[in-house]
Amino acid sequence: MDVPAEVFYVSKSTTLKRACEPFFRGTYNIGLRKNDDALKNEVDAGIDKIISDGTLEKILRKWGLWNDAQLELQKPKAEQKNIDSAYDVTSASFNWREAVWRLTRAAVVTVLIAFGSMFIALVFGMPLAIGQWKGPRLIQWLCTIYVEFFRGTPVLVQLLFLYFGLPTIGLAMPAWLTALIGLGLNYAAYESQVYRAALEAIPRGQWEASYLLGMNPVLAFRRIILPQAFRIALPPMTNDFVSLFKDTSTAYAISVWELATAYRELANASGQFLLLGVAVSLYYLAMSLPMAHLARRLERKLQRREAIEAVESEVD
Amino acid sequence: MIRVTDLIKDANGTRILRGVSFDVAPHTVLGVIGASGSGKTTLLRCLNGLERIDGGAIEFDSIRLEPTLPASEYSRRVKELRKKVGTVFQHLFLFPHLTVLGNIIEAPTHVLRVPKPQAENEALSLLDSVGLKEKARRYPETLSGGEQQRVAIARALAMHPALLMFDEPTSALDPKRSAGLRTLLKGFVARGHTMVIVSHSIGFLEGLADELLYMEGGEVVESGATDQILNSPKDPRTQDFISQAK
Repeated sequence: MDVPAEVFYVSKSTTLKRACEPFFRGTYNIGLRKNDDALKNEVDAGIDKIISDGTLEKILRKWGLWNDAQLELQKPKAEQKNIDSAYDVTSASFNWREAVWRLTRAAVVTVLIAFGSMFIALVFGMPLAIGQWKGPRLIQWLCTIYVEFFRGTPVLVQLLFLYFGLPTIGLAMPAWLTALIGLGLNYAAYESQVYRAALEAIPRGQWEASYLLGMNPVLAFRRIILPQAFRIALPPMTNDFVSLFKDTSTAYAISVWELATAYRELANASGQFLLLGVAVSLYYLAMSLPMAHLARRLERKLQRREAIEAVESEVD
Repeated sequence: MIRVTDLIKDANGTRILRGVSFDVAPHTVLGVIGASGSGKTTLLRCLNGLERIDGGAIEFDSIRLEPTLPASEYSRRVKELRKKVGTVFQHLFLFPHLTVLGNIIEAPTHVLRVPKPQAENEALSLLDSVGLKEKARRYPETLSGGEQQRVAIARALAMHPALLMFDEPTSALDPKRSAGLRTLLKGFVARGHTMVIVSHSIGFLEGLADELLYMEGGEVVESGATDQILNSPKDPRTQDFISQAK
């Protein structure tokens, strides 16, 4: 935040205070029509005049904005300290190494949010699915409301609600945790439907055969139904995971420093929308393609065993 | 061993079984015949507790099922009953994610808590007796229909049931395989098994079943020794069915 804004807020509010000394210097600029040198010279002369006769200092002091940095403006240009360029990712001196480092950090955050929320979704999706499928009427009803709420409203709105809405009732979380939990709860709704469809796809005869062999419902579910349902659920589950990877970008709305936020911030500062866009896309692809590949391999592995034997029995 | 008395079963407002009564003596085979929709399969599903009965009673040794029992007591007795009854469905319902061996040892190891090596040994000798020992490590879908059926039989036998029930065992078999199955089952009968076989194939039951029970419209029309039912049925409806089936 700029110092003038900071000073304004701190002076107006009793609950805000200055976090630290200013750590980065910037300048305000005046925009003029091109080639209007006469006006430019007049403006420059005017600024020089109020600097040299102390009018500027008087004004800034009046508003509590005077500090040592202002003194440097009065020295000749050559003596002015070079602004620390480590922070500077502007088009004039675009630091690619710095940008890649920041993108990498953002990518790590993206991966953590994706895995964390998928974990929540996979775990929480199961009780939702079972509740909606076999639970008592009231539980079925509650699960359906949950599912329809999270599927029927945009995930972006859900994140904004969790991040900005919940603190008003005293439930504040850091942005990254909000994104992780928010996406997790959202995808749990989708996963529950994947599970439910898979569970319902198992013929009733599988249950009955289990019961007739003396199994109780829990044993039949765990040993007979679940392993079969898992195979049915796997392809849509991996699909959802790849979608979730991309949906982590909605966390930019609550300023989590993940890839989409990094792209916006870096590109805004530098104007390198094209190159950064390509770089960010490559990051996303580098993460989602191996995921899709892994999922396909797992699916094939589950099927291969049977396929090989099917072929063998044909040969027999 | 089994006594069924005035058994009534309703489903969706329709009476499927209208007072069915019969006995099955130990070490005998009862064949239940009748056209589709006569209630044969529903009768089987009542006998193994998949359907709750609405009237009459089923007695199996000391276990008695009656519609007046409270739900918890009924299901407790059904659990007891199922320890004594093995069922081979028309559609088999083998577990596709388990090998042949896995299908057979699943219930012994997890329900009876038989140690795995012992369960496997028993399973292998059962597979031997149905001629499938070499296919123990295969998955069900890689087997032929007849082989799958024999796996289902071995799976049921692994729980040492006193009574073995079959629903339409020949529906997916060609005549040669039907004859093979009959020989196999005769072997089990000789070893003292008791069976109830629901079938519309009279040829299959001839020479296998000791008694036949002809059902029509949820009622027992006629029952008696197999020879008598097949050769000199008394009821005209039985005569019709037998003559058409032959």
